[in-house]
Amino acid sequence: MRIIGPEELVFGVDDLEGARAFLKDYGLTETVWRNDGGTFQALDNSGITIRSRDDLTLPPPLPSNNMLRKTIYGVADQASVDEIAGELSRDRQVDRLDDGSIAAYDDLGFYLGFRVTKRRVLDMEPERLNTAGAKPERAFNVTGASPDMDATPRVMSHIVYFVPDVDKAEGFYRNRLRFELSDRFTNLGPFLRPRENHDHHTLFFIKTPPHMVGLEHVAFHMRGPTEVMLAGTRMIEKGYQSFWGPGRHWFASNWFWYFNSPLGAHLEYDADMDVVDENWEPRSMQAGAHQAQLFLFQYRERWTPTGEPEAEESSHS
Amino acid sequence: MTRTHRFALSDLKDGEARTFRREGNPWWFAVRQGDRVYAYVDRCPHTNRTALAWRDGAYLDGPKRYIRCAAHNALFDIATGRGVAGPCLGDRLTPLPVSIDHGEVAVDLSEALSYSTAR
Repeated sequence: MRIIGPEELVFGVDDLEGARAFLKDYGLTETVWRNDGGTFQALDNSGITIRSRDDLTLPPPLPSNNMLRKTIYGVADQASVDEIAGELSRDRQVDRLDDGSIAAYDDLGFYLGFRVTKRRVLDMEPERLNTAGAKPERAFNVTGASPDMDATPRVMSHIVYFVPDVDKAEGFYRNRLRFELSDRFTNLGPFLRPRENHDHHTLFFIKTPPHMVGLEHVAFHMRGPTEVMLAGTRMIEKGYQSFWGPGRHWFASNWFWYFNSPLGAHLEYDADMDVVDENWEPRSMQAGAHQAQLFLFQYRERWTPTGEPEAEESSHS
Repeated sequence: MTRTHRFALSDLKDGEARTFRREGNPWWFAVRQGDRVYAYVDRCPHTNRTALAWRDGAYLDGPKRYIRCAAHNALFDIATGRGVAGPCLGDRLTPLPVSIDHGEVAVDLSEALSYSTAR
């Protein structure tokens, strides 16, 4: 059951053009656009598809009215697709689609697809740091910062669901889809990863009342912390709204910056997540402000210490 | 301490909303419906720390029937600020008193002064 991770999310939105503009400004590439929606991809071809919420070809909405309609997982090969179909068909309907993929509901009401992955394996430059006491990672005369640096999402990283029954959620993904436990926030939920993926997590749950069931956020990996900061700053300067960040998580170590979106869920930039294997020992603790992040910053308008005193307030129209 | 912010009604189009900021971060917002203007502190009661819009001025749902918090898709009645769906069901946005005189909108910011812009 060689599941790699989530690679396409499908949404039914009430503001197609707003969502389209947002996803392009977030940094995804528009690969398909028609009157009824489109698809927007990261560099490895993972991405997001949007349709009008009235589109009858979409799976039905969640009872909470969350806009997520389908979570599509990439798996290594057709044998794994068939294996998942066999496992899930023991106790539920499994839909077989024309493109060879399958789809079924999980135990929480999320509609999942499984297909042979369409991701491209990337082989790109990492963020290179010059660290005191170690050999410089950048060559002589190569700069690390410039205003026109690229900051494009590379890979869909992870998704987070609001669920009322975390134990049921964990049971489904660990027992039926063979996900591994990485860590646990006892008051929120477990961090899980499929076995074919060494990222600390591709799935996390947050316990909520039933009327909130849905997608809380989807994250894409950036090259490194510099790209997280730069991409987020560019979003702010285009008028988008930060929700949380920038900062760095304790569990998984990833840098983060979350933004509100017209998809009714957050889109996160992240980078430098821990990678783990079968020798990892899961940790467990109660999450509060100190556990959820190592540090947290807040955007402010750029200024220079030699400039004029700052105005107390400003308004934007 | 009282503080009033004034702007021309004609600066805010019918069916539109606007973000007002402090130190670059959202502080409060105004929504116009016909000749009425409603103003609220820009804090979702769900977290009491985060701003509602997904973009400058984007406070309404697609059909412009409700104020929407883009953070978790909570809907609020435009006129009363009461949560009608989603995470903020039963909660309420913090309203700011609005008066309109001869085409000039005056918003009393007293209730907003205690809200930090930190998120």
